[in-house]
Amino acid sequence: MSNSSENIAVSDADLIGRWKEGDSTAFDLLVDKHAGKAYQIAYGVLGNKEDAEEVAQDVFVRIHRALSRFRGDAEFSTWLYRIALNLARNKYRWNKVRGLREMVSLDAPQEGEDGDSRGPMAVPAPKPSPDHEAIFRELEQNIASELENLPAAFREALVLRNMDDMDYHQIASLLGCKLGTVKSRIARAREELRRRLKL
Amino acid sequence: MTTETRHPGLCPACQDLNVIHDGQSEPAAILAHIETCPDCAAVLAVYRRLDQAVADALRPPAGMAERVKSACRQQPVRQPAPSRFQGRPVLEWLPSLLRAAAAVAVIGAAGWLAWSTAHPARPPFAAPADTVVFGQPYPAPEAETVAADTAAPAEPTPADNSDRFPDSMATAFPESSLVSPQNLQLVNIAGGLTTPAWGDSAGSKLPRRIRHVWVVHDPADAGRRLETILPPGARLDRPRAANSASRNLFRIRLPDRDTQTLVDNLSRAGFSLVSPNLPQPGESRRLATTGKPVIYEVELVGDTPQ
Repeated sequence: MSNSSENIAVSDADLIGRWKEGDSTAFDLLVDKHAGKAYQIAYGVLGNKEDAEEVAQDVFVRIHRALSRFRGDAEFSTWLYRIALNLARNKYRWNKVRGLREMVSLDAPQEGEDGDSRGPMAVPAPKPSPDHEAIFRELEQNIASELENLPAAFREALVLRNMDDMDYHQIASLLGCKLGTVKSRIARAREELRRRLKL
Repeated sequence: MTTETRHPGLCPACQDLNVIHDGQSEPAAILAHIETCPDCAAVLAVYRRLDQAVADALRPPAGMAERVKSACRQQPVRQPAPSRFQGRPVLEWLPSLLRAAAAVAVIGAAGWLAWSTAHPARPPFAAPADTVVFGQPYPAPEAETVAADTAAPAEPTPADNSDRFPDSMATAFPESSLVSPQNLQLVNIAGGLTTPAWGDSAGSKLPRRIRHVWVVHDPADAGRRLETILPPGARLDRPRAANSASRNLFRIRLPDRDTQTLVDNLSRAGFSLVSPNLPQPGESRRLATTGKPVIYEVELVGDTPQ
């Protein structure tokens, strides 16, 4: 197997072409290159590591089945992101139906039809901490659980923003919502994390 | 401005701060304010630490890629094999092809001769259309399907099904027939196959609403073709064109027994199913149908960026 830097240098189209010609290691390279992204998208939707890994596996099983029909005239990564998002949302709905996740509502005003927040979003004035480093160490320990408790729509947007440095337009396209919605969700996600983590 | 500021009239709204923090816009007036406002600078510093913490939390678990590969390796291989004839002149491979075709023809003829000798007079029968599958040889049960069937709790055994075999059916098949009830029971016991369509088969029942995501090349074109793929008795609700997501979401009302036909039709039409839930193309044996009406939602996703 090639090393990871070599994997990144090879384009997805090349790897898919090699796989279609019978090189089974090319699929492994695609997994090395993109499994983390599939996991991160699923984590953004589900907020749960075990479920996210399960979805990431399912994404690649589906891709493995369908790759021979993938014509390569599209971005493989876009295709993968969509599959990951859809499978993760299916899983989220399934969990919700089975009562595995408690939905947490925010006290903050709800989004309007166009995605912009209707009410004011107060930003607490930052208070200088006597021990900033200690606070941030605690932050790193608590961030996972607070992410899990964020509403899924906010978490999705914030995770996509932090994943691969996606810009707002790409996030809006992937989530199928408006640019204003993405701006609002990311801002509200960060503000909610600040509030919960008392930063 | 949609949000309240810390210092109304002076500090930017937090949504604008987020946009600046993410580098999506850099209005000069706000940037100038931030340079002189310690409160805004402190908020931006918190955002940077938050993002770092989120990025750390997003790191995939160790060894995940290997587990993903392992899961994929357990799937049946559908990798297209490189053709032996690729790139070779026709005259080189044509004789091999003709020899192979001749061998297939000879074996087929011999098999047919042997079968027709063993079954000189196969009586005609008038079974309902949905039971005719028993007149054809069964494919070997796939390991995956058998596992799913056996995993389902409290399912009727083949012996249970024999009780439901209607007498009228029994008289419709003479004992010498390949599709006699006795033969059916033997096949069921030996092969672990599910029951015929006259009762509930040993499979999973469908929920009232099923949603499947299908990957297609062109969702708009696939949406137009959808109506021609529907089985008889299915009704398609036109999507509302409110936004791009709902334009590609189609709702179909049909009896649950027709959902398998529908997914098979979609699969044959080149749609690629990504949802793992039932029904799955070619896996009718995993379903138990009762004829109840269900709503089948088709979400079409393009394989090209939009």
